[in-house]
Amino acid sequence: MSQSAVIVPLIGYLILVYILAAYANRILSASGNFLEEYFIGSRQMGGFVLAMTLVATYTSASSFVGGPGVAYKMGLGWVLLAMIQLPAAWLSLSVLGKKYAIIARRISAVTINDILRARYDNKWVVIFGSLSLVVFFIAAMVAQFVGGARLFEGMTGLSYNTGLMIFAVTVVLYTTIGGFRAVALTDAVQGVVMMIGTTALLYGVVKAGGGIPQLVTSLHQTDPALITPAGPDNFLNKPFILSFWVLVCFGVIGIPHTAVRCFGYRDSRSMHRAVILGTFVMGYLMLGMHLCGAFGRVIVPGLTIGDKIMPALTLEVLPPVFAGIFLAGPLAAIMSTIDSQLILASATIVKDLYINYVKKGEKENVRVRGMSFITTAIIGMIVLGAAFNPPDLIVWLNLFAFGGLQAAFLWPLVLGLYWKRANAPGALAAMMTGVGSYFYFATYVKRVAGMHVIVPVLAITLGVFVVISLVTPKPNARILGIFWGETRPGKNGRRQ
Amino acid sequence: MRNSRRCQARHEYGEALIFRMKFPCIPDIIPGIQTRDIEREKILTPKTDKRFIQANKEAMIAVGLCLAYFIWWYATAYGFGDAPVTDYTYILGLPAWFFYSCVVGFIVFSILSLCMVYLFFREISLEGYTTGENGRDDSTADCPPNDGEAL
Repeated sequence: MSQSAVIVPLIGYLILVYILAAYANRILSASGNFLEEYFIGSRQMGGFVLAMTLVATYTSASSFVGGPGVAYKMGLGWVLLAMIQLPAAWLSLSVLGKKYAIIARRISAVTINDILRARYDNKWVVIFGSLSLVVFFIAAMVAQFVGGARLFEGMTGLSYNTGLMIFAVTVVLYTTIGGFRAVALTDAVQGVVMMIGTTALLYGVVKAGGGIPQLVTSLHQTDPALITPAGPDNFLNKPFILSFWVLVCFGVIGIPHTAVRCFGYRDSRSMHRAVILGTFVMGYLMLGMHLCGAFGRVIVPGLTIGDKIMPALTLEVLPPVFAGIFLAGPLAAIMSTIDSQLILASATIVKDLYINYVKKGEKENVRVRGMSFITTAIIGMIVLGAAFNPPDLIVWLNLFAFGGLQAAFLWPLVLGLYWKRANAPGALAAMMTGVGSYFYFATYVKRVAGMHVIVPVLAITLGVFVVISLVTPKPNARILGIFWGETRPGKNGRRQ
Repeated sequence: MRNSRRCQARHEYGEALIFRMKFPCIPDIIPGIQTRDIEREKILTPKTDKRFIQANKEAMIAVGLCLAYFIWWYATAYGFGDAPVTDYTYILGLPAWFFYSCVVGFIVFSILSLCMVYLFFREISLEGYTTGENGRDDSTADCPPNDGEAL
């Protein structure tokens, strides 16, 4: 009985998602420029949608399931760590900023690699970027699917495979038929669902625990370390927690599926609104969810598996109908991350690899249309297939996905926009060193002087980029014209 | 093809600039050899788009606000939180360090991000090129850009 009460709001939610996809598909059919509409929604996002899709894409299973699970064990110190993410929205929108949006319009970019291709004008930069993006994305999507299906299983009592089918088929279908516009619109809905879910759960937890002072006192009684910034056994020591400023704050600028949103907006006013709203939503979700996790220690004590804490807590403190709405929260977080990665992976294969290097210059025709739909669907199917029984390789790759993407894309993007001297050999060397050294450090070294390995990796990558760029020739005048000039450069880079 | 492009480049940029681009590490002034043709470089350097200057300013301000948040976050969390647990003070039931760093920090910096946008961010056109030929530059998608060989 209580299970059907959990399932009903979920079904309503899934239907809404399908309606949005059908709407996006109608706009797609009417659109004159298929590639721009399908892969970047014709750059028409307004402020609200931009803010929501940026935050929803960024917040994944780890913010809604994994993170609060760790907060359960680490207490308030982990919430402090989660709050490092507050500037991520304003930072990535403003640093990539309007310059990035203008350049994307100049070169009709629909993917991150389009920007890299225009800036570095080098086949290998694009190919290396595209391949690492697709590989890391597939691994990350499988992991997200597994997380989503487990959550579904834990809350509805349906089997893992049934949950996976319902959930994954929905995501793949709406992304395939609706393209980027469907992704952004559903992300906006999912962002709202996450906000409601967080509010409901936090309210439920505080009420069940008898008020905040009572909860903090109980935490103190359980273990005084739970209410310190350092956490039990000084696990969250300063070098470790400070290195998260690089991993989840500054480094977020280089995450491809959030970066691509930073040129998908309609006008500068949308971007301004998104900076304000995105920051608020990000902070609210991070604070609310992780605080629930930390307080959960008092409400449902004695859990050992981190991922089970959120479902257990929800069923404990919320009435079934609200539990159903809340369950939609983390599912929304997961879906909104997968759909964004799916559409960008597909764009990368179709636009960056197929059109650039296999069928040069092929643009508007039936074949590209068909290929775009099919590529999206096929990647979705591969990920779905792998999620039934995740291969070890995928599980292993996923551990490196977040940091690996930063190591590959952060400096080529940021230096490409702000340093005239940055050139192709430098970028290529930086990308390869970044990914290579990240694998090496994350596998064999784990923590460097107490810090997360992303810090030394980004430092090395920056060094390699600068040195190699300085000993090789400057980028040509045409590129400088596109990225700095005010008039369209002529064929050989002269002003017209 | 290759040769004709080279000749063309030589004609357009001048010998000195080509030398300069090929060997960027060589210092600017070597007695007896002219390595730079400053007048020519000035003409060839494209004029910077004014919107990019504004965009750079906004990026710097955003980074500055991020640093300010870092300082707030660090000072309040460890300023209050490094004391022994028995000495903790509580505000609204939360430990003071947590209240100031996570709750107040969240509210204050949400408001500051709003102030940043209203005070410093300017509305600008996002059109590709504002001067010269208007509209989108589709040429890069059709033909591969100059591969640098000419230099």
